[in-house]
Amino acid sequence: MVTGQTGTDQARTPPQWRLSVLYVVLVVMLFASMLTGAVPLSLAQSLKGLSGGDDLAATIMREIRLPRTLLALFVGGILGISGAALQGLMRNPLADPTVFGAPQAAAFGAVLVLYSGMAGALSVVLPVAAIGAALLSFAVLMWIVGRDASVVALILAGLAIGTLAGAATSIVIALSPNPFAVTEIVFWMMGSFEDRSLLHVGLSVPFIVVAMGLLLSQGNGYRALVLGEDSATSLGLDVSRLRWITLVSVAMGVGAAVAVSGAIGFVGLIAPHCARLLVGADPKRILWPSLLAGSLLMVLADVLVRLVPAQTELRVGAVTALLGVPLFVAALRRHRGLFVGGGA
Amino acid sequence: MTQASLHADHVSLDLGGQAVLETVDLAFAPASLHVLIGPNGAGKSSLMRILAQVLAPSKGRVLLDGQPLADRPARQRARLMAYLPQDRQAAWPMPVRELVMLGRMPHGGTVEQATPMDWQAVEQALERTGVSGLAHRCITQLSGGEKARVLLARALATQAPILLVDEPIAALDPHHQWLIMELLQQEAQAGCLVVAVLHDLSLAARFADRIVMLDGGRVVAEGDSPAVLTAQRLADVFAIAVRVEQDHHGLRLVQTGLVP
Repeated sequence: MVTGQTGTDQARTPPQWRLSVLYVVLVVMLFASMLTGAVPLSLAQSLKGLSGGDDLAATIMREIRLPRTLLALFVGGILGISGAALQGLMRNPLADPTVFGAPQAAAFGAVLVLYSGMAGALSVVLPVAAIGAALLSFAVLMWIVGRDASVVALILAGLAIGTLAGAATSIVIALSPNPFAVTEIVFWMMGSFEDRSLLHVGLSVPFIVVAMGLLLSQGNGYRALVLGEDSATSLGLDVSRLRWITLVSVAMGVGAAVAVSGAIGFVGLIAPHCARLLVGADPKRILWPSLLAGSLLMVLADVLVRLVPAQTELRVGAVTALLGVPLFVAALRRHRGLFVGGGA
Repeated sequence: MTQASLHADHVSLDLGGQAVLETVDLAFAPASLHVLIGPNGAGKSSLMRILAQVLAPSKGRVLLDGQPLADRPARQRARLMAYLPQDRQAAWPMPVRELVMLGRMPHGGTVEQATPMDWQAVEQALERTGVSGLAHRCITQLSGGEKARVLLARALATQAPILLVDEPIAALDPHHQWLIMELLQQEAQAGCLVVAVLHDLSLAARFADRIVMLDGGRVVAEGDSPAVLTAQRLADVFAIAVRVEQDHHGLRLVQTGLVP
């Protein structure tokens, strides 16, 4: 199995203040997100608009910026903790929903019901279809690689699933009678929080919160798995139950997130990596910080896409990929020993 | 210490059509150090995994105090039985002390919610395996032998009446091999049922209360050291030429060559 190397030789329980830094930066970013947009609003106007009224400022704050900020917060959080949970389960720092093809599959599920006319854009069928497709992708992944999968097998199988789902998505969109097909393809492939409403929040956040709660409750299981499946079983852990809860929760959270925001990649890889720098490698202790780091990253990326002057707004998934892919490559290089049969 | 007995009741195991264990029927009494020996592929580790209930036998069952082990809740079984698998895994760079605390999981002890009793068990286990000085270190930075002792400490920290250890001294230097064998002997004298897989026949001869010799998935001999470790049987099963001597410490095995 992969040995993470983020720890220092003197691995002591890290100080609590490091986590406080995460909270502070997250709050600052949330304010930044609420104060950033195409229409310049002063701080006073923004606060007034948020608290009530029916003028332009109120409409902008409550119908544009608030849903967008909330979605970035929750979608980032679930992607971050999903990565941490999958890494704990697989005992592998390269595990991530995107690497396994889950968001791509979820996007296909959502696009399929949306463009076949089975459901409208604000129907609960949309997240349910996305969750179902994400579950199916995990089932196929597990069927391909089996239980004790090597890193290479997981990445290759995930690549196959993600590529297939991406191709199927673009075909479905291209065949639909929608005149905006090209922009829609970009949305489902790269993700965005543009033009989302509180209805989108209501559609996805309940699923996301349940998934977060389930994953947060499995910390002792991931920690026991550090010793391997046999030791964990002998300590009283039901490993197959843990595997089920994890995969179903990740599918539920990622599926619901993708249904409203499109497929946003690599946050599940970056967030746990940041969390480990702050609190050490313990797979239980990184769960909550990974959630926070995911939220922080996503809100930050969503502020950035609004600040960069461009003809059409940048896609938030492009920003997270720009941050995530180099990290993924660096991790691959560090663990490349695995690919030639040597140690990590 | 509470005592418990184990019984592998006519256990067979087939893996992919290959018979790994064939009708192994063995009773393990408490307050005793049982040592499993046998050549590579004899089925020792498979038997240990079945005893630890991490692998289900194809036929037969394991009884704990006369009751089927599979009927017990996982948590209760985990409190009664500590198991050290052969492959020593530590997937993430965690501090040694926190890793050993995992041994308290069956009692509800975690780093976040540990009673003074849990910490005492952890410190005692670290002390006894001689790794107290490494408690703050990171597991992935340790040598193979140090890591093996830390993971043994994890098993000891459970303070279970049954201790199953698969090759506990394989990566250790002679000093620590002896130290760990003495530790297992002390555990047995305190009432614990200890089953250990060993490859070192001399240490097995010196410390075991009972030796079980496996070959090709069957029990070929069992009993005390002089009864099991005869020159003829070692030649038959291990294909080694051994001179067996008796001195005031017990049995002495001197390997003189291989049997062609």
